[in-house]
Amino acid sequence: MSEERLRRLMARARQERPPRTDVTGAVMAAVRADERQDSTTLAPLAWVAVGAAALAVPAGLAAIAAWEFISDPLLGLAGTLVWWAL
Amino acid sequence: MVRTGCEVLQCASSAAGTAGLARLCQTARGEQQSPKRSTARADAADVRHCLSGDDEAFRRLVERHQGRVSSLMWRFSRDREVHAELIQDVFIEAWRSLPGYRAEAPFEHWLTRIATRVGYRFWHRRAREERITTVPLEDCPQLSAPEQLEPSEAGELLHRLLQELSPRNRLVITLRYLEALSVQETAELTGWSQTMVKVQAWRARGKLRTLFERAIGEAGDE
Repeated sequence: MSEERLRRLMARARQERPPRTDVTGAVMAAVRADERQDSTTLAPLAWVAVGAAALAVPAGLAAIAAWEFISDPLLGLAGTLVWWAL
Repeated sequence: MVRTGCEVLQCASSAAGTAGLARLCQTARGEQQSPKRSTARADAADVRHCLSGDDEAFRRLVERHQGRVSSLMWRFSRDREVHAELIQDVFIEAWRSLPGYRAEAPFEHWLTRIATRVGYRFWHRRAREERITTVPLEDCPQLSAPEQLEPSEAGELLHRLLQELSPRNRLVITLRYLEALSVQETAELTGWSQTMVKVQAWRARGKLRTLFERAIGEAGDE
C-alpha cells in the first residue's frame, strides 16, 4: 500500500518543472575570468623557464669543457699501486 | 504562406515526378523527426569551435543545454540561489574538461555525467557540513493521497524525505526513479557497475519506503 503511494508520489514529482534560470551571462563571465587567470599565471612561469634555459646553456657548455680535463680516478689509484709494487 | 523545406520539396517532387526528389523529401522529413541528431551535430561543431578558441561557441552550448541541466540540478537543491550556482558549476567544469572530451558519447550525455558528479559532490559537502536528522512532514496530510498534490509540492516532499538518506542512496533514487533512467544509463552516469546500481536502488528504495511510512504515520497522527 505504502509502496503504491510512494510510486504515485514519485510519479507526481517527475512532472515538476524547475524554475527558469538563465546562467549564460554568469558562465561566460566566469569562463573569461578563468582564461585571464590562466594567461596571468602562465606568463611569469614562461619567463622563469626562459631565464632557466639561458643559464643552463652556458653551464652545460662549461661542464663539457671541464669534462675534458677530468681524469679517471681509477687511473690515479692504479698508478699509485704500481709505484708501491715496484 | 510559409512553407517548410519538406513541403517545398514535395511540391517539386510532384511537379518533376522524379524519384530522387522524393528521396530528398524523405531525408528532409527524417531530419525534422530527429532534432536530437541535429542537436548532436550542432554540439559537435560548437565543441570543435570552442577548442579552437571560440568563446561564442561555448555560449551556444550553454544556451542549448542549460534547460536540461537546470532540470537535473533542481533534484539536487531546491534553493534557487544554490540551484543557479550548481548549474554554473556544471558548465564551468565542462569548460575546463572540454580539452579531454573524446566525443565517444554525445555531448549531452557527457555533460549530464559532469552534472551528476557536481550534484553528488554538493550533497557530500552538505552531508559533512550539516547533519539533518529530522524531517518535519507533519504539516502535509496529503501524503496519503499523493495524486492530490501539485507536482512542485510532491517534489518538495520527496526532497525532504530524501534528505534523510545517504548521498549514494539519494543519487540512485534520483536517477532511477525521478529522472526515470535505466539501470545502464544510471551505471554510465555514476561510474558504478549495473549490479551495484540494482543493489543500491533496491536498498535505497527500501529505506525510502520506511521513511515514507513513518512520515504517513506522523502526518496521520496530527
